[in-house]
Amino acid sequence: MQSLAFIITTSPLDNRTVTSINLITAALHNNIKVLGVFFYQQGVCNANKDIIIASDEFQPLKAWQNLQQKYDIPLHLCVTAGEKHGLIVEEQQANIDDVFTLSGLGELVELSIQATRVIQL
Amino acid sequence: MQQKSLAILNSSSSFDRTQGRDALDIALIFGSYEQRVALFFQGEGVRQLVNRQQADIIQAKDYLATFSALPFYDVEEIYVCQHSLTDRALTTDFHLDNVSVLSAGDFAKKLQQFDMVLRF
Repeated sequence: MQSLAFIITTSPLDNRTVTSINLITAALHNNIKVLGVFFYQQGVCNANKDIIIASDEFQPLKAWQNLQQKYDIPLHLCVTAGEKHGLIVEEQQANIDDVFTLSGLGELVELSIQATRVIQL
Repeated sequence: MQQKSLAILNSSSSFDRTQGRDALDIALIFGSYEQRVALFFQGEGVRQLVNRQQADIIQAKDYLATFSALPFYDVEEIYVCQHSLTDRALTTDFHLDNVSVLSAGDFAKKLQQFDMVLRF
C-alpha cells in the first residue's frame, strides 16, 4: 500500500503549512496512508498552543488536532528544534499541545524508510 | 535495516538562517542509520563549500567545520553545480575534499537517482 510521510519545516503562519495540511487531508480522503508528520526547524512552532491567530483566519493547530484525533496520525516534534523555539523548558514540555509527541531526528529516518514517499514543502 | 537513499539539496548560502546547519544535522543522522546520503549544492547553496569562511565575525557557529565529520558517517557523496559556481565567479577552492563538480544536466540526473530529496 502506498504511504506518505510529511516533514514540516514551515511555521504555522506560512502558507506552505496550510498547503501541507490540505495535502495530508486529500491523501487521507483518497485512502492513502499517512504514516506520520515530522516537525523540524520553524515547523515545531505548529505545536505551540499559545500562538494566537485571529479567529477569522485559518487555525493550523485545530487542523493538526483534527488530523491526529480523527486519523490517529503521529505528529512528531523534533526535540532539539523544540528547545531552540522555547517549547521545552527544563526538559519539560512547556507550551506544546497534547496531540504532539517529542521525538528525535531518528524518528524522521524511520518514517522516511517506511513511507513510499516523503513530502516537504 | 531497510534502505532509502536521501539527497539533501542545499540552495541557501552558508549563514542564511540556519538552513545549512539543519541540513547537515539531517545528513549526519541518516548517515548514522546507515542510509545512503548525498549532499547537493546548487544556487546560493554553493557558498557553503567556499574555503576559509569566518563564521565568528557574525557570531555564528562554525558548522562548516563539521562537514569534515561526514566521512565518519559514511556520507561521501558531495555534488556541486558547476553552473551555480560560474554564475557567482566562484572557484573550486573548497574546504572539503572529494567534491564532485557536475554540469547542470549531470547534477539533475544525479539527483534523480535518489529515493527522496529534502531541500534546505
